Amino acid sequence: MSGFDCTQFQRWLEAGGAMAEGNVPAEVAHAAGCPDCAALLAAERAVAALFARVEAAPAAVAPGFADRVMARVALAPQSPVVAPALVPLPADALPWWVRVAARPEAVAAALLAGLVVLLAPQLLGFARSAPQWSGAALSAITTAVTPLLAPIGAHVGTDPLVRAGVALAFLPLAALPSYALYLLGLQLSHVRLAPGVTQGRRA
Amino acid sequence: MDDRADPDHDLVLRARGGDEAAFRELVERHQERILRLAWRVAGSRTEAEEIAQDAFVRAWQALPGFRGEARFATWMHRITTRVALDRREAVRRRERREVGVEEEVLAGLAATPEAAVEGDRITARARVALLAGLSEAQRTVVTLHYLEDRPVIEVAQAMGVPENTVKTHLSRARAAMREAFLRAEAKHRGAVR
Repeated sequence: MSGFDCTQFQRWLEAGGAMAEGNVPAEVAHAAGCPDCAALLAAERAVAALFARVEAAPAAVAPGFADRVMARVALAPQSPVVAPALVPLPADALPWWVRVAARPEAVAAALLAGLVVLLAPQLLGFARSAPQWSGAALSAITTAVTPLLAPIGAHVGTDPLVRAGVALAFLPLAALPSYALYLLGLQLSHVRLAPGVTQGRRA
Repeated sequence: MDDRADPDHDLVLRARGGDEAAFRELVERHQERILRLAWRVAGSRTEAEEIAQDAFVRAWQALPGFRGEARFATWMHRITTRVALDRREAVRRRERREVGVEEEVLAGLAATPEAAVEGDRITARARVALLAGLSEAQRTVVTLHYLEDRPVIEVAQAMGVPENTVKTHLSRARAAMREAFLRAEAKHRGAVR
């Protein structure tokens, strides 16, 4: 035996060893004693023979070849340029309802509406238990907000209704980070045309 | 790939804008190589000319979408091979041939070198059958390397990919062709029994 194993043989085969001029005796000796590797080597040689059988192609081009090509080219219109992906279209290129539907707010609203429909039974159950959880939530909110309001005046924190009203007044602040994210998204989605890419086509 | 590395860059830009004179220059520059490739894939001169013509017309039509990821020459090369494969499929459909890839491969291997023209045609058909089973990238490296005798480094430059990528494609392509051959042989053995 040659001391070669099947893994080494396959590695040699994958590296194109059998396609190179003259086989290495060790590999061939291994294949002689291993039917699987022998089949692989035979297949590789057969394929190589198929590609090696390519005769020298004629060097000269038939006279008038370019004329014949150009005659067909004259009748063949060029395909229109496909607008590169992510390149924004002009604002008036689409109907208003498409533009509205494509806005992030509309997509978010559609997603929200979908969730509401999907989770309707759970939401209804949640609403029915509102009296229990609202009391707990109100208490949690006021506990969290009261220290913040302490400098405004101790008298504000005494009436639970006033405390709840003040807490609710702070809720819109939560929308600010979302709006900032939306603005950032707008900046990032501003795509420029790559240099050399034009929307033009031949006249 | 950097567009400026392509010697055809300026002509391609003009041809993309619909300049037929620029495209004619591209045809004249590449006609010999494309015809030779078509001849090697198809195995007959008449068919090679038709393939080459179709390839240039298809390139003209598709030029506005050509972004220069590879050189124009490599792109033409891909189109030519694709046209040859499409013609093979069209012929098979027209003739309603039930001959499978395996039979074509075996017939090609059995064709003797003495059977000059017909032998060339049969081996070409077998080559095309094997190439049809490869991915676009594998087909490109196989035709550039084995049919155009270009070294790996040149293939890599032409495709705008690292040498190791070319080697990987070649290795996988050979494995796929070996498998096709072994399948053909197994089917043949089954049929003989």
